[in-house]
Amino acid sequence: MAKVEKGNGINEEVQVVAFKLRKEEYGFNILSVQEIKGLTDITRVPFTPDFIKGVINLRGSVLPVIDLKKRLGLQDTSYTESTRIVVVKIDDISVGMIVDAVTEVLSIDASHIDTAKSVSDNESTRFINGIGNIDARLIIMLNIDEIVGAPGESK
Amino acid sequence: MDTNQYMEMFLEESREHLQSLNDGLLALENNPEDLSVVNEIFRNAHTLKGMSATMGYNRIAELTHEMENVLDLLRKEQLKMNETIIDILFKCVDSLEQMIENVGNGDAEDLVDVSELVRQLNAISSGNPVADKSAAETPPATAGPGNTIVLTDTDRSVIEKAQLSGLQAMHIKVRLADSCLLKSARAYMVMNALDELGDAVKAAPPVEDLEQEKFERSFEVILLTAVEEKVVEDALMSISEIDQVEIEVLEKKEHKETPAAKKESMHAPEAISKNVSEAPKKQAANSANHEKKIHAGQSVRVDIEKLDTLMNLMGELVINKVRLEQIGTTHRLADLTETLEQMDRVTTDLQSVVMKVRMVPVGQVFNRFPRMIRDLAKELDKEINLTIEGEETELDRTVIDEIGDPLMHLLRNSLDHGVEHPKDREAKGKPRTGEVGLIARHEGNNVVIMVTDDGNGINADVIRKKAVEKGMISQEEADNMDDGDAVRLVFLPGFSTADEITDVSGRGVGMDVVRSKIESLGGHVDVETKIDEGSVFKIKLPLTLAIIQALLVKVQEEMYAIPLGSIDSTINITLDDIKTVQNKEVIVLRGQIIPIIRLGDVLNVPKVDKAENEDIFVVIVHLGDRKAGIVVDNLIGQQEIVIKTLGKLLVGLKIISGATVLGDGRVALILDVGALM
Repeated sequence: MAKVEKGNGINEEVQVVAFKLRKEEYGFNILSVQEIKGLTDITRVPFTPDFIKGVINLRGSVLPVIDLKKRLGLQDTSYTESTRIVVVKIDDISVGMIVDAVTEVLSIDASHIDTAKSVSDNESTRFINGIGNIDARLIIMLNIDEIVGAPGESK
Repeated sequence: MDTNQYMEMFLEESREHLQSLNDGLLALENNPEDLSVVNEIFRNAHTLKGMSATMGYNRIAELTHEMENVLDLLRKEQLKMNETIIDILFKCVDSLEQMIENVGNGDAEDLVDVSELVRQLNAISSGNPVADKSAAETPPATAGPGNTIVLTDTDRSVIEKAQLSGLQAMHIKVRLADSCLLKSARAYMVMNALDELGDAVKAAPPVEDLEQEKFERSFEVILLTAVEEKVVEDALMSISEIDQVEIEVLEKKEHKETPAAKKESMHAPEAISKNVSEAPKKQAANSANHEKKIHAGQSVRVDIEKLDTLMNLMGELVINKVRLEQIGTTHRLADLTETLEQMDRVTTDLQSVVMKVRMVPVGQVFNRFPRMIRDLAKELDKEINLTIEGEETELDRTVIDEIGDPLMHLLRNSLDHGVEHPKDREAKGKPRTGEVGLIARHEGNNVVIMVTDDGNGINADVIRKKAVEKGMISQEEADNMDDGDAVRLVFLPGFSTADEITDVSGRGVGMDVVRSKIESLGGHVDVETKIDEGSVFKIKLPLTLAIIQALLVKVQEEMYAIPLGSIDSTINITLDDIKTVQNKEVIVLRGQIIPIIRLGDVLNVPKVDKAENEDIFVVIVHLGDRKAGIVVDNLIGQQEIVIKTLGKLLVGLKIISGATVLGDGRVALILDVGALM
């Protein structure tokens, strides 16, 4: 079973915030998502890896923002009206993730989530927890821990 | 029982009690006869014992129990205070401190071996012939001396008066359940319940002590009431965690049988009226005293993070206000502008209040030094008088947390290198006791903390020689250096003048650490000295780290903030003014050669506008004595900015020390001038 949830119950459901990156659909476990906000001014921060887009002002506090496409090694596309920043929180660290569009909140039965290994074996699977399958619609479940990375890694 | 949730409280309070123990012992050392201090210390030890026993830390409880025994004898004057006892008590406090820190770190309390101390204390308390052993060994656990009500004549007459007017006087003993953690709260509920039923005239221990949990499991109250015994009992038993309530109705004659009271009441009516009139006065005085006490202690502990959040929200409010103002001006809405003016006043006040909330008196750091100085003076065999001034000066909490170590270094240095041995001092015609001062005061928008001594002073020539020997400067540089600059060399890394390396200082670490610490706090340290007259180390700190004045500059399309504290001036030059020296760009300003830093290049700012400006703005910054010019595209203006961290994800960035949110809601990064240079 996938690492997403315990997954031992038969009707275990995972709530997922689904969003688009290019043509594909991805998802974060809703428990990690704090809020979704529109694109605002992003201040570039020098001396950071290129996937760190910069920082934004989130109600008076400063929030780092990751360009998710860059982080996952996807091809860049320009920002549009539907571009959103999904604010996630993991171990006390809040981070914004830029996505092309947020589609909906879904419930996926845990038994419908396959491990990433069954799809691909390459390096980028470290960012992927599993793949949810709802009526042939595939949602790639992301591992936020890996994406945010240890603070040291992103220096 | 799950005591985890009380851990934080336990630690905080224990530290407070340890601090007062330390203070008390110091006071006692200077004035061993002062019984009120002994009492104070006794109460501290006692509370500490109670708290640690509740939390299940038996070693701490054991040690405090033994301390209490000794202190009890002292306060009963069955034992005379002497230096050995004081020293042992100080050691006890040290061990307690360590144990409590261990506990706080999640370690076992018994990492510290206290058996020797316990044995010594035991020897003191039992070895004294005058000591009443049984009294010493069974302290308040059963019923402390303060726990039984002793009625004074005044009390008696109050009771009698009440009885005459038909009220009953009851002697109530309340025992709290062993598991009760919030004893003071329960005691408070009991007192409240009693107040509703009648008039609680006397309590043992006194009400103040009850409120501060300075009692064991039980306490006693005298209640004057019109209701029946049973009613009182039911009311009290309905409060949870009350183990037992014993009520004894005091008979009227019981008092009248007292010959003195009888005599007074029969033959000296004036005396009664005098007594009666005195009683309320006394009570009034007591309650006034009481209120004052409560007022002084009326504070709330707040997590610093909450204050940070408050500050963030405050910032957001200000930003939104600015936006509204812009809307008001653009659309010429007079009503809105007027309302916003009002709002502006409120937000300004609010902001200053929020800032003040974060301020803490430096006394919090200073109060640990008298003890350290005492120990150090003993160790070094010197006589030192420490004067502390301006403890009430307030600094931002974050600064307070960081300033302790640098101050400790400076004080150690003053004691070790500054103040001479008593013999040497006499030879120089100075008083034997060396004066060391720790002074804090406001100076404009800064707080200045000075560490002064009347010792040796620093010999500039010795420093010059050392620095040359160590290869830190050349002989030529040394010769050209004035004395002030030479003395400042002590702040360089790896500098130590003590020929003999002592345990206290002189390991060559210290002064440079002091300097870098203080500079990291946005402050500055300097020294003034005169041979044989002493030295003054002067630390200048910003009032707060949370809000600073900064100059906003623009590089291409990016905005950066440079702290005003490190800015000398700004100048406007043309491209031709930039010269090169060994391939490094410099400018010449008033005869001084200043290296320049092109901010856009250092920060890899993407070039939007390719055309090179003919007019160049240069911000001249300084760090200590060094200067540099930062080349920017535009100067936006000076502004008060609220410093925010970039968060855990972006820690350890060079050159960028933080960020701030500007009036238009955008984020600007704050430059670390030190790292830039």
